[in-house]
Amino acid sequence: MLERTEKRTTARQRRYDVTGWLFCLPAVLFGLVFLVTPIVLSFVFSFTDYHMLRGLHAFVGFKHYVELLHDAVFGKAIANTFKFAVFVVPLQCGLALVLALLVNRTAKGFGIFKLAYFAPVITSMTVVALLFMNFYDTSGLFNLLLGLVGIEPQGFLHDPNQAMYSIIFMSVWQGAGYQMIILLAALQNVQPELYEAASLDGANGWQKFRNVTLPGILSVGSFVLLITVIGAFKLFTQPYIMTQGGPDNSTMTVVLYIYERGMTDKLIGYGSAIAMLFTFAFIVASAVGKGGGRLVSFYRVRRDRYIEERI
Amino acid sequence: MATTELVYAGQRGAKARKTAALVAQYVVNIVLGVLFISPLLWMFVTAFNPIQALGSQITSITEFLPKTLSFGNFQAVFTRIPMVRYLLNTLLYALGTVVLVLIVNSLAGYALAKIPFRGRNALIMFIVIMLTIPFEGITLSLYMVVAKLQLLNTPFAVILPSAMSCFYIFMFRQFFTGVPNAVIEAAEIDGCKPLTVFFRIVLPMATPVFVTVFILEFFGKWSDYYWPMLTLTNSNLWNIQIAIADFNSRAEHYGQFMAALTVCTLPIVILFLFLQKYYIQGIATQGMKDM
Amino acid sequence: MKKVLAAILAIVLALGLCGCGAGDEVAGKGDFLGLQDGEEFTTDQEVAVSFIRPRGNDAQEAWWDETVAAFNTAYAGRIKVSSEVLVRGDNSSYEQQIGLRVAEGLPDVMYMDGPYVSNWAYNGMIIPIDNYITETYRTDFMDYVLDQGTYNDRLYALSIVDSTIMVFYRKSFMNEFLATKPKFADGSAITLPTSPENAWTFNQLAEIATKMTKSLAGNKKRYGLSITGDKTEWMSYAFSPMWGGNILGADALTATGNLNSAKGMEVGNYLRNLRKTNAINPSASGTDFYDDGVKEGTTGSDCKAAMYFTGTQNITKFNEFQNIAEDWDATYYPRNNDGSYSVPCGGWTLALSKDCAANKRVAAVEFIKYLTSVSSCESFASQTASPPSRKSLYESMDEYKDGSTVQNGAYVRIKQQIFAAAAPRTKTIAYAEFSPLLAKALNEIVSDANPNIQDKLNTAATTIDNKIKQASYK
Repeated sequence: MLERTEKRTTARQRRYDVTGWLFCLPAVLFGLVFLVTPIVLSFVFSFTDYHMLRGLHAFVGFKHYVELLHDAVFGKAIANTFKFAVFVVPLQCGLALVLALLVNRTAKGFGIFKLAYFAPVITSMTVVALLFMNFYDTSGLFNLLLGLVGIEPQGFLHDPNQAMYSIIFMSVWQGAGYQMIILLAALQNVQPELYEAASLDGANGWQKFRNVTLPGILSVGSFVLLITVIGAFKLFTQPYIMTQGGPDNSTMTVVLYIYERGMTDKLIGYGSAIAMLFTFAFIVASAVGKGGGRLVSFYRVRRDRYIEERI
Repeated sequence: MATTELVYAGQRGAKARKTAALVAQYVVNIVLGVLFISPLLWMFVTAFNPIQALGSQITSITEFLPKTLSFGNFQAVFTRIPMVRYLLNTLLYALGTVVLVLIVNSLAGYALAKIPFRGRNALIMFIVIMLTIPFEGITLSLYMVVAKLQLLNTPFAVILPSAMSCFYIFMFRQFFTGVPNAVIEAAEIDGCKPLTVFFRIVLPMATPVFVTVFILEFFGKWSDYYWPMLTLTNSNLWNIQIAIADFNSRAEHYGQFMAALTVCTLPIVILFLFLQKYYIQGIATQGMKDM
Repeated sequence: MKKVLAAILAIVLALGLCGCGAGDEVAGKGDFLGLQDGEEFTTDQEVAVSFIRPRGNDAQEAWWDETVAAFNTAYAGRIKVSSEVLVRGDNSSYEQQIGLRVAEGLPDVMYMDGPYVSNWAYNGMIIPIDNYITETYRTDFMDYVLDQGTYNDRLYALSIVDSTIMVFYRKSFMNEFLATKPKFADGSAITLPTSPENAWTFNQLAEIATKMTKSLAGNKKRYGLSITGDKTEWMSYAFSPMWGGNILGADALTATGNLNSAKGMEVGNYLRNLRKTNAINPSASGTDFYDDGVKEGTTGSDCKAAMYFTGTQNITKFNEFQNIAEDWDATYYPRNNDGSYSVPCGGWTLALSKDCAANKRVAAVEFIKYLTSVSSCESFASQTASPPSRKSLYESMDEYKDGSTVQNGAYVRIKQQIFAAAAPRTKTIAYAEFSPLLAKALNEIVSDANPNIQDKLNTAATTIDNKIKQASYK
């Protein structure tokens, strides 16, 4: 009897195995060819002298990685990428939160406001970058406007001290709507009773925000932070279209540098080494970010309990 | 009596404060909203400017603004470059990818959620790990793979590499996990084959997640620039983003370029207006679910 | 299990990737495998030849379509050429797109930018054509054209037309400042050079442009000169002669100490001063010279630059505008301030790719010979207003004949400067590393808000040297 059941389960299990893998087959195939293979290849290439025009001739060990240690432009690219993230993440998330709070109401016209804040997100980065390139021009719109209030024309993208900030400004404007929508959903999920309870306690607006709103959107907020950080590290389109990394490499980023060394200079080996380091740093960063997110959720649960106890 | 009055006054005060707050919120929103939308509005309005001048030689703001409405710039954009072809290309790539993405990833997501096959957990682990691999880190070698498969300068170069997405598999899996087992088992007892169960029973229930993935992928593909730029060097195959980036250096004057940017933006904005509800739901739930 | 499978697949793919590159064998120097002049091409079956070129302007496109079609008709049943046209965008240049193609195999015949011949030959992308082209066929080509097509003593490429740089100007503006009516504040006037020997020096050009900016009808929008060109190539093409031929050292591979030498600083300061003294428009974008161009159905606005330092390839563009076609004229490329004279030349050229199979090469060269024949060169030169690559055409084409009055003799001046001092652009196997970086540095010197010129040149020099080292050129 027992044997029979076991046999039946195996037959059933076998059927599950077949259908399961069949269902996954397309994904597995595409994944193997277009994801796993490139990852393995990137790894292998980073130890070779692969040159786009001359082909692959020899394994060079850690040569590229050692060279990268002394590559000043690579150092600058890392610094710039961090600089971008350090400014964009708080600015974009902060602005998104302000916007979310501003449109968190179901009165007339608020749908249109939401749309206005979200419009730059639907506009592609290519369009936005080209548009702002025009605005930032020596005799472009921004300098004309500055001229109206008597300020000298600024270099913007042509000034190594301003180029990155010009890109940051544009990116914050373009992206904030996205985070706003996610935060807005979180805001609308905060239980209204909590606000009522806080009101009865005599809490003012700021106290309500600090003690009810903020804890309520904390876990979503941490997710928003994470995706913003991830997006910031991938900065490419803006400098590629607007500055090609210049002036003085002040807008060179890691991803742009992968492109420049791998594609423009045709050093696939060297470019792959940068790409591997980038991927590795990226995995570590998102692991840390996810860990941070868990911590925040944990903190939030405690905070909720604390608030509920108080009420 | 005194207390009632106090409460009443308090209520009145609160009401006044509330109205004031609402008005303030309106004002701030209007100011910020106008500021936010102004670059795009500028793009749209100056596209109608018939003045034959480049941005660099316009010296006053009023010169930018069209005195007469002219569709000449749009006409020029469509006659000077094969804009219709670029739009159709983009549509083809976006739709092609979306269809493939929906089939490939929903099947996998369903299996990972509902079919207890051996190796399932290993596969899930694998997908979680792959989820963190940034596309930008593998483009060089992905390019070599696509080149080796002779896919360069074919629509497949942009469609096939995005067919499988760990992120979408995960989204589908999360959704299908929520489908009650009883529904599936009942259908199986009725003698339905797994694929039939999937298409007849599960799919109709999964419209929201399908719409979300559709929107995310479609909008993403419409704006895609980096990968198509690498793989589609034949100008007949360009998508709209590459086309306008190239047009930047070839536009005869300011308004014409703005018209090109507008042509690139308008279709997706219109589509967005139709799908607004789903789009916003999509990204919002994406945020809620992940953590 | 899965990972093992993946690894195996990856290794197989990797091996496949490494396996590429080796085309058919290349014959040694001196072995003649081609057809003698006048010998008819015969074959048992039609040979398919693939050809790749960048998209040109309308005039060039028309010529290509016509000529390739004419070739296919003339060789019907023997050779069939199919062309692929790439767009040469601003950022993703043609050279890069071709580079990316190496992995999947190159077309048989490639139209390529002349200065890249050494680079592509060094990297094994193109093969010599001197095994297929007779000595006598070569004699009519300009010496510097052959020089440009030669690497390591082997001929790799032949050109149909060439290009050079001139100081173009609008007569309607220039005439206001000539000796007949001196208009500058100090009473001086502009004297136009009469031969390459007395061409303006770069300093004179700057001085004239500055004065013009000040005096042009008091209109703030106008400038004496425009030097704008494409981002990746132009500045290094236009100004590298100012280094006096020593920009990459004797081995043509060392930028440090050469590119950033005192000469380099002189060039940098010169360019920066053009902007400081308002000789040029500070705006980075712009097509100043034909801003007022009137085409069918347009009204035009103010022209911004009276003179335009640019290549002959833009002549067709001038001619597209009704009001500029008659109005433009040109004077010689400026002399260096120390009196030395070298005119940058070099244009697009035809080469045979490594992936052209040995049994196709005679047919492919037949196509190259057809495109570079006297009549093809002539029709291309006249339709696209580019200086032809063949010497004899300067005697037979109307616009280039001595004493020609076409466009006020501008074409004759082009010929004079080419015959006087034409030199190919900096010849180096590392052109792909060198030229874009030099151009970037020079562009930034002009367009940046407040550049440190020495720093820019130093950085450019070290970066070029590093890239040359990393790409292991020898």
